[in-house]
Amino acid sequence: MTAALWYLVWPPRTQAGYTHQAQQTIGKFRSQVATARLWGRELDRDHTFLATASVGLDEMETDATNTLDQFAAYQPPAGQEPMRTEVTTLGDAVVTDLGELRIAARQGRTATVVRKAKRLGDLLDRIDTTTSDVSS
Amino acid sequence: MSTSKLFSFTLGTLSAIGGFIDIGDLVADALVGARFGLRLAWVTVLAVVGIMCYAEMSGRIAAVTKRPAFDLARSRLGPRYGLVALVGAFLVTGLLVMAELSGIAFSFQLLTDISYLFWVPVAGLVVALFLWALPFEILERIYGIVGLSMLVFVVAVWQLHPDWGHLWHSATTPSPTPGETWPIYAFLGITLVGAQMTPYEMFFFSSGGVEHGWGPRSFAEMRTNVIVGFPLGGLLAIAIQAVALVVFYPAGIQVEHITQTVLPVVVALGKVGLAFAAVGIFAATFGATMETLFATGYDIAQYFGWSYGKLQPPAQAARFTAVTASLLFVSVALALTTLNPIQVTIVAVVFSAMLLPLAFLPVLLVANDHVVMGQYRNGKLSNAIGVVTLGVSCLISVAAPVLLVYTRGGSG
Repeated sequence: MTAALWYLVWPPRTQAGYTHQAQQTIGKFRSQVATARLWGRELDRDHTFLATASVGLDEMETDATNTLDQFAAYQPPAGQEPMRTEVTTLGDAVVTDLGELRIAARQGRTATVVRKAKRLGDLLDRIDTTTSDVSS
Repeated sequence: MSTSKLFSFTLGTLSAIGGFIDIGDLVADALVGARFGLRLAWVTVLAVVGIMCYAEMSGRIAAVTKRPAFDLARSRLGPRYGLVALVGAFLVTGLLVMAELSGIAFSFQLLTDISYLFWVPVAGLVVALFLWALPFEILERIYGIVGLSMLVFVVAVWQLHPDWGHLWHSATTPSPTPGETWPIYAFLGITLVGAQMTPYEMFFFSSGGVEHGWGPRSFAEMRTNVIVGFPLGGLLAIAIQAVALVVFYPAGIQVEHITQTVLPVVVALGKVGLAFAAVGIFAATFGATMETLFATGYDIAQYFGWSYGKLQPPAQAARFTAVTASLLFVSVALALTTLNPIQVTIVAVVFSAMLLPLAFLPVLLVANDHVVMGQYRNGKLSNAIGVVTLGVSCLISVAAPVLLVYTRGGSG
């Protein structure tokens, strides 16, 4: 049981393990941003209540913060500091953008939420670029 | 068909909506649909067949012996076996009560944007009041019927205008999607089994049958409940997987929240669909809270030989009432610790899958006992399906802990 729990929380120690963790982290960022963008699009189509979209956006921001914190806490193996910098910089941008969306939604500024959500397409492009960098 | 006949089927609908589609399934189906599309739909089909077989056996046992499944498990396999099954079922079902209560709170949060933690005590109070004030049959009918609003997920599949050929190809390709691995595929398959074949469905169904006063003449009613209820649950589960495939899979979205489960309905049907989905989630999780609470109360009362039942006045089943009330109170407190109910649910359903053989074996043995069941003992078909289901559940109970650790809970 102890060994199983140890395995579950064991941080990546090798370069391959760290790269795998980085890819998973970026995948989560992509999911969070894509979900937020979808909420924004449905708000634009008048398909959802602002209150419901606000719940969804808040969850995505919280998830992104947790994802970033978890990855940042891993000690990078020697030579992989640039990868850490690239992924955490991307994570900071994700958290900032999702935070702005959540704030606008909570303040009832529907038009702002819709506008900012449309701009998440640029962030998704940046996520794709980072995915390629990390995989190469 | 008379109204009373129509309403007599609500136990099956409640078992389907509250048992098959509970918070575990709401999350697991969307999660699986987003990652594997319909490539694990076959697991749902098998789970439906398996749980139908065992629910029918449990219902038949209850109708013939006037005693529910867990009660007979103790007398058939002895108190030690009964105690192990009781402790296992209590821990898993107890955790699920907390998760289902959180599910009710999530349904309120969806429409108000007020944290679910605020709604948890409110949900506990509503459950307590309803259980105290309303008769079992009324509760069953209300939530069996209101729960039908979950059919909004089926409508959403149509409204999303999917490529039906693509859906069919996905459903007939029992292998991982590109980028995913076999261990994760197997682990999520087990998660689906755990979410869809919960032992408490069987215990609740048979104990409910005892409360309904089922006898051999009730077989038609009982079987109709099984034939209507569980496939309905399976249909809803596959619909949730299908909408997740259409909306989430192409965007690379991973599902971790109930709000994400309703997002495809929002895309397909807008605010009306969202309202139906919120009501459906409320009904499903309320029904599941009721089932898990009662199933735990039934298990404990039947093991110790106490009088039990919702049909009896609380004073005449004081210990049963005290157990269910205490569990509700503890579950509210547990939910307020901010323990993530979704993660708790995923772990609970995996452990539930591991415990399935403990729930199935005594039912299969009793249903084959000539002395107890007489002419109503199992036929060849029931035995064939029952034995295969038991065998598969034994494999799952061995594989589940290994895969849970190896895949790090499905995260890879």
